[in-house]
Amino acid sequence: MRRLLAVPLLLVALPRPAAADCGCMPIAAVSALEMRTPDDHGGLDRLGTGVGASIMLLNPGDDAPIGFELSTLFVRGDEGERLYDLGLSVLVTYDFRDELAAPMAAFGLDMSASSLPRSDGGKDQGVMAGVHGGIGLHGLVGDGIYWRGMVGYHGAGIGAVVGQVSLGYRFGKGGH
Amino acid sequence: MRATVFSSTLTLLLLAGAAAPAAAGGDEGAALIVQGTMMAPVGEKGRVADSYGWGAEVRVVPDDPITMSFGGYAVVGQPDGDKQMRDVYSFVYDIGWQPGKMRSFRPFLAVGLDVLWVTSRTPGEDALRGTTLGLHARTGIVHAISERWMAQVTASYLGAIVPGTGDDLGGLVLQAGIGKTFED
Repeated sequence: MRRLLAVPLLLVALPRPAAADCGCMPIAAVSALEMRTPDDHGGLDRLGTGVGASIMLLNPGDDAPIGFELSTLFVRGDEGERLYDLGLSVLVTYDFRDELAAPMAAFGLDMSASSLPRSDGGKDQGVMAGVHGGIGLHGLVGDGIYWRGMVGYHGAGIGAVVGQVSLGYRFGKGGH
Repeated sequence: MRATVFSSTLTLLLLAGAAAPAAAGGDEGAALIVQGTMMAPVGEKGRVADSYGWGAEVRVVPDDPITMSFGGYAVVGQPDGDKQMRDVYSFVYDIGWQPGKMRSFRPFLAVGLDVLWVTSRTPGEDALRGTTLGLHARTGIVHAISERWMAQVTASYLGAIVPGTGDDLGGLVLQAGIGKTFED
């Protein structure tokens, strides 16, 4: 379990195939998501919808069930907002190899390019670093189809609550 | 939002406490903990509203004096008159010291690093946004409810400068939640 202590270092050194001897599951997935931003009355306003694509290395069943995800998001807001994001996540998961669904969580860092309308008619534009996180359920249908449902937050370019569903394919099925 | 976070966190903790057999084995382990989170601006209490939300973290509790966690939380500023509202989204890593070998209640002290995205919202004005780094000092108790479940209550002081406004974020962060270990 002390291998978890190495997570920050792994974040920097990144998914070099330290994964190679861990029996990790490589997965590619596409996502659909909706973002909502806090309003001034304690509620959440719909910001817009988007799509994403990601590559994951999951490690279910190990005593240090850490995986990684490299993801992109393309979000179009209802009032002209635009958000393009590249994120790197640490994934932690309970063992889902014999389950249809298992809890998971993801935390990570982002780089976002965004354009947000201001009240004076101008736009706030720029590239900014940030964070994201979320919890959800995921699993395999059969041996190759991966699915995930997740709620979380996105704080890069804009701060928002995110609901996301993903569908993917597991490569290299010989491992587990 | 405030009431929802409070009531659901309290319910989770009460359920966890009610289900707790006396004390659990304290083998080295890690758990994914979901927790209600509140942030109160200590230095600017009269000008900035409290923020409420949720977080999750992986807590490692080995059988030696070192504990660590990583995770994140999102808290949203709640309307409170004309006060400024702060939404804080974080990625957090901390490392700490847990004295003694008590198997049921493990108090700990920790320090850590925060990567923060902060949105400052004042009613009727454009929001100010940005990324910053922060530091926190944290104390808390981890309670092993059973071999698979644990509860955690923590309080930390977060020090950071608010991007866009230059204000002192200086927030007291209170968190309480339960989690399940990864081992079978």
